[in-house]
Amino acid sequence: MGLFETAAAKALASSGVFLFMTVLLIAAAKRISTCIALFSVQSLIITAQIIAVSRMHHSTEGFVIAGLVLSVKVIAIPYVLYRIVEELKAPRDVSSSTSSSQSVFIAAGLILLSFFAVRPYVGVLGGDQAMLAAAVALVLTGGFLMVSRKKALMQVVGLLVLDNGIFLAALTTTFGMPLVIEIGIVFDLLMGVFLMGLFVFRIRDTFDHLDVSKLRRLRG
Amino acid sequence: MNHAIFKSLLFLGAGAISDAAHTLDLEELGGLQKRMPLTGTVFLIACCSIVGLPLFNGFVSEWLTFRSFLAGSEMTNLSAAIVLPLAAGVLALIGGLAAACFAKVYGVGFLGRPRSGEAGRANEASLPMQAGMGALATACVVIGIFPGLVLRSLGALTEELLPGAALPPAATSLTVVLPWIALFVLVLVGGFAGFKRAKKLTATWACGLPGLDERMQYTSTAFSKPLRKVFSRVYRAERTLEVVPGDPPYFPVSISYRSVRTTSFEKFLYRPGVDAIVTAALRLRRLQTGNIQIYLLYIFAALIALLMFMRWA
Amino acid sequence: MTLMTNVLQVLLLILLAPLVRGVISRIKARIQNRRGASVWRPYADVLKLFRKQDLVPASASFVFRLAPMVVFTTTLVVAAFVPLLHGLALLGVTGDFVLLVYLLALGRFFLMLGAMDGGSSFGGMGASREALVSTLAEAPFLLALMSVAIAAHTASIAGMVQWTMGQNFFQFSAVHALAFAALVLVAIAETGRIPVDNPTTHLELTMIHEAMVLEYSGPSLALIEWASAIKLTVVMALLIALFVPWGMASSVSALALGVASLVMLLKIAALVLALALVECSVAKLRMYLVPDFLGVASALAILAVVFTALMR
Repeated sequence: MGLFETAAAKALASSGVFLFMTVLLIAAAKRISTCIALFSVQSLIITAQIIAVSRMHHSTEGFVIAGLVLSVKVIAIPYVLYRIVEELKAPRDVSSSTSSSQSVFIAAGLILLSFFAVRPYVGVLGGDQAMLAAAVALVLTGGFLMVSRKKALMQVVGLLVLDNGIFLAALTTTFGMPLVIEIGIVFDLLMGVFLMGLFVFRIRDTFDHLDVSKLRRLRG
Repeated sequence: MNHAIFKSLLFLGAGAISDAAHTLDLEELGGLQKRMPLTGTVFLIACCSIVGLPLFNGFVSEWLTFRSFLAGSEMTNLSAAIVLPLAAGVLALIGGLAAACFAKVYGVGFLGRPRSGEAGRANEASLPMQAGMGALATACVVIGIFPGLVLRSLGALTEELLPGAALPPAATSLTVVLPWIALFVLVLVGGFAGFKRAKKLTATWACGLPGLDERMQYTSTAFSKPLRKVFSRVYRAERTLEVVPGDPPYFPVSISYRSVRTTSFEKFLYRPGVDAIVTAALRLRRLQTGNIQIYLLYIFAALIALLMFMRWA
Repeated sequence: MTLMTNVLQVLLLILLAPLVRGVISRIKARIQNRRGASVWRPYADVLKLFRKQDLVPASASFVFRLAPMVVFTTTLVVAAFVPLLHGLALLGVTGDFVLLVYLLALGRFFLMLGAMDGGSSFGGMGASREALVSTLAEAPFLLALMSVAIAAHTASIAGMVQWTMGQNFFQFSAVHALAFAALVLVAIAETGRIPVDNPTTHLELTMIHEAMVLEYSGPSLALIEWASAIKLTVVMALLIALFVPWGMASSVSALALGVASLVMLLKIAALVLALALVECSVAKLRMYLVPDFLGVASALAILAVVFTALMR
């Protein structure tokens, strides 16, 4: 094993840390575009992990999935979201119901919670504790983002982060799902984002704002 | 022990102020450093000590506390290993608040210009008071620079009380490094001060306008305003701003602003306790008959009760 | 030889500090499409100020003139804590991180008092804001250093640096990443750089540090300016020493030290570039958003401390 591979292995072992950092940064970010960029970075880290895992297991399927994730989650979805933000010409802040320091505190709490939550299962499921905790933390913070951010677009970002978490959990425990399912999920997401984009435009046109907390007409 | 020294020094200083300026309201003090140089200097030393700045004795205590928190992180108990280092953060926050508070006390009380006539006419404290404060201030500085003097004897004492609880070896590094830093600071500050500089007295900058008066200084309430606002959950200030508009609305006739602060500690933490104690005290007052024999009876009864307690406990 | 290197380190930090400042403002000027002043301008400024008269407000007491000296000397002492070229420093072994943080606090305390001694409202305003920022910055500062200290099982700065040098470069630890992020935020607040305070502002109402030194002139101002330049450089050197010390000389020989100084120069240049970029792309925060900024730092620092316990 050459120097490069040793370095790659070490970096992979600590890539969970980078995922934590992206989570905290998304919680701290004040602009939608920053969140989108961070989501893209997060997906890139996960892509690197997929490549590393599939290399370890000598599976070609893994490379296909990696390419898929790279093209869809790292490039396509962030690009579409960027375009939506540009086209909307709406205010660019995330308008959170918690201040950014509170959000970071909550995200930090969620990370710790996920560490304690996965602790008993590390031995059973195998896989790295930090990685598994990162997966749970991604799911939790994705949910938190959807709950606390008022802009409709941030709900999409929250959902995407949550999906990254599920994906990572599958990757660390069973070394990924079958190829067909992966492809299905990824395209599902892509369609979801397109649909959500359409909806966001409609919401804007109908109500003149994107604030989800003001959409209350539905209740009977 | 350090606490005892600088706290009593602060109280003595406060006493000297009230003696000289007939008030303890910070908003009416100011400029006392010029009027009472010695009291001012020892008060400054006491402030530095209580804030826990190095080269003063408060820091030694603070440092020992931090080091014990750090040592706590080595414990095998997971929750203790997490909570103890975090307590250091709380201590640091308190230290920061103390620094803000005492910068305000000294800065508003002793620096700048007098905010009232009384403060402008204040005179230095009497000689015995000066001597007392001077001795305590010297103790602050000496312990602050040579903590080894006290730490060694205190270490021996704890060794006697709790065998095995010796002073951490790391403490010696502090006793080595502090005198060096003190020497360095002293030499450098002395060098700068000795270096004769052309000095000229001028008026304070007032944006080029004449007539800067003492009412334009920052008041103590204004000084702590940002902190109050940040911790508004704790303080819950009630503020009212009344503006009487003038003829052109940009030049109001009068503006009055008042801000009432009741800390929520006072409301929710102390009040119930204080109320309970007051009612209890009122009830207990019936015991106070004023008859000396009754008091003797109480003492006697206490003695008997103690004996019985010792027998059966 | 070791002692000489240690003294050399301190001298380097002190003498190069104005240059760092000059380079930052030069890079900022280039990014903003200006020519910018020479990188040697801070030296000229300090020299010019030292030759000038010291103006003292009539109402001020001895504290006013003492404060700049205290600020300068404490910063000098702090400079002696930080390893620069090899894993040791003059006070790096005997002095620990608590002493470092509180020495900086000592300087700041006196600067606040000196500002209030001028008797104008601006000094008081600057001191009041500085009190707010420093109060909130102290906890994350100490906690972040503490987390590294716990991981390294030592409280001395040099010990921490040597421990980090022994770690594998590619094994990024969560503690280091979090503590680094927290310390960067604190460093920005501590040295009064842009999202928190604007060092080049000329509008009194937006000032923090500048409002405090408004009344100072001549040699006193020179001391304060030089001290703040040293502080900036020292904080940068501290960040480098604690988190990316690789490349420092492991033995004290002329060759190793030469290589180490070259590497250190590159690292500082990278930090300076990053700082200039951040300062050009970020707007100064509103005063009451600063607590939020430092709250993020506190959250990161707390997480770092908890992680040290979890990772053991």
